[in-house]
Amino acid sequence: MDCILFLMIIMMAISVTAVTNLPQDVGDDDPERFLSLMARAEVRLSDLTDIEDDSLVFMTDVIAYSVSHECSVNDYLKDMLDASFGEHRYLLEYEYGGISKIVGEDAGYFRYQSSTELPVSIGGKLSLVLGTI
Amino acid sequence: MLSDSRGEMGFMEAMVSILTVTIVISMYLAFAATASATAYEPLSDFDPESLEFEITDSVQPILMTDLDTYIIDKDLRGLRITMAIPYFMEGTVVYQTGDEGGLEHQARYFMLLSAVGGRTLPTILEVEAFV
Repeated sequence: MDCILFLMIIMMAISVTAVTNLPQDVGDDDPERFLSLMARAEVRLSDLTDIEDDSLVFMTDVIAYSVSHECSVNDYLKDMLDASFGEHRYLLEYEYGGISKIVGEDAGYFRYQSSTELPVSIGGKLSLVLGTI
Repeated sequence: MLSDSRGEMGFMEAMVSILTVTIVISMYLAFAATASATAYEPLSDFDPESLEFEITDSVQPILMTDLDTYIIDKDLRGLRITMAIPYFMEGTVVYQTGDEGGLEHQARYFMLLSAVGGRTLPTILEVEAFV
């Protein structure tokens, strides 16, 4: 009886120690943070499009441009998402002016998901939904 | 515990009881020590935005922040920062100070980096701290 009581106390102490020492989440590599960075990023127009204009534009503007024009935005987003979340581990859907595009694969299940709507310089809003496994 | 008719344990039973208690308490203390060592997170207050970079003619930036101060503050063996700017920069750039080895803590951060030509580029930082 004493032995059982002693073991129960020790087991409770182990449980309390385990719960109070759970590893903390560090870093900020979640989809929400990713989308917030995309909203503030600025590139030269000629970096990701065929337009020979070195003006600085917001990333949201070139993403909006890419829904109806062939350019390197899709390649950029794929490189960025591959490096951020790993290949085949994300799906980004973006829509502007009623036209939508996707980058990545639909895994059917996402552990984290974030969406946002961002203003575009020429008018309208760009909507982005990013899910990651 | 086995006791005789007067309620007293024999020598062997008493020794076995003491040994059992000692072993269980030792295991608990070892567990508690391991748990507290692994729970220590040296990167919990690492702020990537506080890093300063010098903009160069290429996209590859030069880290100006002295990482030694951080590893001394946190009593670390070493610190390694791997930076990637996908599409705009080939591969990665590694900034390292101190030694590798020991217990390793990792964290990943997204940040915006001011780059050549006025660009502000999303950047991925992999930070490894060696304790």
